[in-house]
Amino acid sequence: MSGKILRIGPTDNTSDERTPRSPLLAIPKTARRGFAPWLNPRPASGTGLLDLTHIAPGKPRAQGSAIEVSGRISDGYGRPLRRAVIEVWSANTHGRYAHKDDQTDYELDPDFIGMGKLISDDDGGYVFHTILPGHYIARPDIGRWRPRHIHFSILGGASRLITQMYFKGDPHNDTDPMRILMGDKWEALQVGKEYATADNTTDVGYRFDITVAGKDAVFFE
Amino acid sequence: MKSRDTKNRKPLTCEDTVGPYYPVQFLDDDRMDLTVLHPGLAHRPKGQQIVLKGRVFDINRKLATGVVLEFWQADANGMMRGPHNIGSPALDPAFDGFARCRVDGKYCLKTIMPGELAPEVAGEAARAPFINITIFSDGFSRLVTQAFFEGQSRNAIDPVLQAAPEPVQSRLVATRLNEELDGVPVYVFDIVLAGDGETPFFNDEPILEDQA
Ligand SMILES: [Fe+2]
Repeated sequence: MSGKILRIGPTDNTSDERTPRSPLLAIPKTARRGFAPWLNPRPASGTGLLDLTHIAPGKPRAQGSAIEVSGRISDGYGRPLRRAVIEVWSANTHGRYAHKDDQTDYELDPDFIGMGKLISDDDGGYVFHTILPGHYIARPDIGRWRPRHIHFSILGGASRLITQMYFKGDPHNDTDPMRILMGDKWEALQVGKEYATADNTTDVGYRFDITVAGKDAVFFE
Repeated sequence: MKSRDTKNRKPLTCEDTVGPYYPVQFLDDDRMDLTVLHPGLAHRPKGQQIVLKGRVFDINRKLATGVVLEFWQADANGMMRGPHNIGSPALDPAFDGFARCRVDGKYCLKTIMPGELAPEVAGEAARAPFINITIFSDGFSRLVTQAFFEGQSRNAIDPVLQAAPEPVQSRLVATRLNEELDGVPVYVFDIVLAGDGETPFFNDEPILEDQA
């Protein structure tokens, strides 16, 4: 049986160093359980809207354009992923992460952290407010940029997914190595769909629906 | 294509790299000690305490920085939590089996030796003790492998371990050190992401591919 060979992200140095060269091994049908953690649904957090546009009550709003991001998490059959833990993180409006390992010269916004957790509701829905992240140069040595994006981690049920949401119109979209690897699926699946928000708390909304697979097919039959 | 493929109608969101900046504060440090469910609790899970530690190397045998590792395992009775066994009295209530960390190439997990996973779901094989390891890193989206333990008799018939070609099987088996850590046996499981000595990784993509 021929296994899947992972592709190396073009122009990505780390990808060249860290991507396995051997094909992935097939998992015998008799032993599929156990490849992804199954975690109990978390209790609803009940803390209301996750708002990353303010670092704390009474502090100034973070720099840049405030946006709403919302969507629904479901499996391939359309069933909602309830009470999943959603982690989101992104750069600030200048393209700098509030992370100790981000040593770039982009400006740090003292009023923005840009990292948060939320829980999906009974319909798999989620919503949060944040700042439109800036793009940033990831490899100054070869001029490789990362377009605007928000990182998502979904932990719940029998699924485990880490993905990124992108924004239409970023000049660096087409040269992004991950986007190139995703091919045609990128525009349909990974780009937030713009919508007008109801109030003026945010400038614009982006809908990002996420479809997870049970990494362990046992649980999805 | 079999019928099951068409039932899975919605295209799946693409996996993407975790990048170098996974928020450190998302991780609770105590998630790397599964011998206590919460630092404030006196209860301890059943089973032999062990330490599983190792390093994560890139193709140049340099430590891979900023990797997120997740561990998932059965309790001492061989019970791995899942939707089919919610509320089962056989589950150890003091053990949930999930750990994770973000490390610069070196990890250390305090846990208990997993039991032999008993078939609970139709068609399943019995398993040797193992700990599932998921790796997220800049440069790729996600890798999964399983660590087995030196000296376990069931290793010889474990379907996952035996799915690896014989010459590389030993890379999936954690070796036991001679010394102990605070009286606890220590097992070493190094992960080589690419190149010479590369760890075997598994394709756990669902349905579409492996049912075809
Ligand atoms: Fe990023």
